[in-house]
Amino acid sequence: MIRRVGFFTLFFLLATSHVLTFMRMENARVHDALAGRLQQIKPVMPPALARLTAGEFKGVMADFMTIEAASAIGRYLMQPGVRMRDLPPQAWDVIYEILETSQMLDPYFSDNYRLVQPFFAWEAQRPQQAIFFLKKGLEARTWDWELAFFIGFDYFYFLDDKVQASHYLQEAYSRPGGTGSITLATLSAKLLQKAGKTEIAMAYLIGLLRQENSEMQRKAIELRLRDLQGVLIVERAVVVYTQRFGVPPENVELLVKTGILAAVPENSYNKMPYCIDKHGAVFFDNPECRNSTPSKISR
Amino acid sequence: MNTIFPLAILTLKEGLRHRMLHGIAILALLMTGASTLIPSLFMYDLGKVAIDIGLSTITMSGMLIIFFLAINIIGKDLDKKTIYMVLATSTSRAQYILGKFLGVCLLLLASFLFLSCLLFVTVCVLNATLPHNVIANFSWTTLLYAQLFLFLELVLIASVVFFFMSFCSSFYIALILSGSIYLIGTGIESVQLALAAKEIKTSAGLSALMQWIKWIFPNLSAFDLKTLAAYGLPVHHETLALTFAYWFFYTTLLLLCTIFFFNRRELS
Repeated sequence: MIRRVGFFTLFFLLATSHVLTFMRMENARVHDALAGRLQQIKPVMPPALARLTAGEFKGVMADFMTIEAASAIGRYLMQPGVRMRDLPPQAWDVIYEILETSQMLDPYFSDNYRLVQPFFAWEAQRPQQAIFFLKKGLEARTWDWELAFFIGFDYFYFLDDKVQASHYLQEAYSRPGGTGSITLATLSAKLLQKAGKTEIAMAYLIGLLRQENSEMQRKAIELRLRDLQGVLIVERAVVVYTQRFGVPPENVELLVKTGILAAVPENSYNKMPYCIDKHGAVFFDNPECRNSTPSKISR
Repeated sequence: MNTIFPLAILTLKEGLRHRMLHGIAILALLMTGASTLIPSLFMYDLGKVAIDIGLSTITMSGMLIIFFLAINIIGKDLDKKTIYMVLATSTSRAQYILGKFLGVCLLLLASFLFLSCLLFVTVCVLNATLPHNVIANFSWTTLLYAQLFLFLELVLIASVVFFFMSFCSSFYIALILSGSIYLIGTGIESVQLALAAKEIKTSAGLSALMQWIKWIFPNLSAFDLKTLAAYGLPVHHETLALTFAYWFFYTTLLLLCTIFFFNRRELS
């Protein structure tokens, strides 16, 4: 009886000590990590070496690296009261390195790209790094239109590079899954127009029109083509006006008054009036272009 | 054949009775359980993760069977001199090797079939419980190919183990050598690709050496179709046929060498 009581007492004491020690150790480790010691979860070898040594367990290793990155974001980067974009760059570097290793081991793994897009493009404000990462995925996941869309979005929204954005939206549209979404194509054409490449945008849409069989898709393309045809007429007239008077016209009516245009072409985009900004850029979707900062995007 | 098959069946029975196999089976069952639970930690490619873990479980169990169980079974025959009893009958050394090899292959096949069934169940459960877009492009055919080539890889590794067992005095040395060949075999293609892409800077001599090495060591990456199975990527049948031919010739050659060395080995 005494031996049994002694055994259970000892067991109880050891179990309690274990729980207390474990809790303290865990707290201490989290504290260390929060104090900037994220380095402890940094991969021990460079991504290329990890690929060479992982052998046939590359897939499983990639899975666990991704879990490591996701849990590190949750544990160390999502701190109450601290904005993620204010975190030290070293913290993001470590997470990126883990994800890069995972990508090197399995470039097809979709979860990595779904982590990089929101966290690196948005939270860490590192769109270029996100684009670089996503482009590698684009090469591997040839069936995935969303990665091209993410890259296009990042180019447009974060880097204000409309030509590259348009290029990747076209890429997204050309991929399985993206082909069904004509918005990608019309948006791409719109971005090209905004980048001052209306003729290229029209050529792209005409090319699509030749291949497209769906009546609904054809209608959407034709509608955008009509938008751009009107813009092109106005844009050419603006060039003539600027050459003649040295400054771009303030409004589209001036083009008619000066005889450069016989009549203002009808804007098929919601029947809005065309707008010419201070630099001579023609807008078919923003009648207040002279007073407002350019809107990000619509349709 | 009359001698080889009974020997193979005996080896199979010996293996199935071995406690080590029970340990391997428990580990495999735990990993299979993990392959149904771990995917829920991911956001998108859940099916991929399940297939990754499932196929890796089959590989790992096969490796454990080869490196610990098979080596143990053959090593015991040599250590305890029970091999004399077999060779004292009309069994030749070549028949002994082939019988034992076939027995190990049957053991691998049994483990492979058991774990493959579990993987099929896991994939079916995931397919039934998760939304359809989770396992995009999934193909049963590709998964079957991946499993088949994984089995071929295990047989090839078993032949490597037999080769070293044929002349090594200690089965620990055979274990270390076979393990090294496995590591080299799984990495050799990646190293070659890295060298070709100039990702690794090395001397011309080492590059030339790599060209020679690839003819000696087995290219085990060729049998690794896990990525294809996990993403349902297209399978090139011609490549698979060539890989199968490569496996057949490499394994047969190695078995011939094993018999050659074993015939000359002094069993004292």
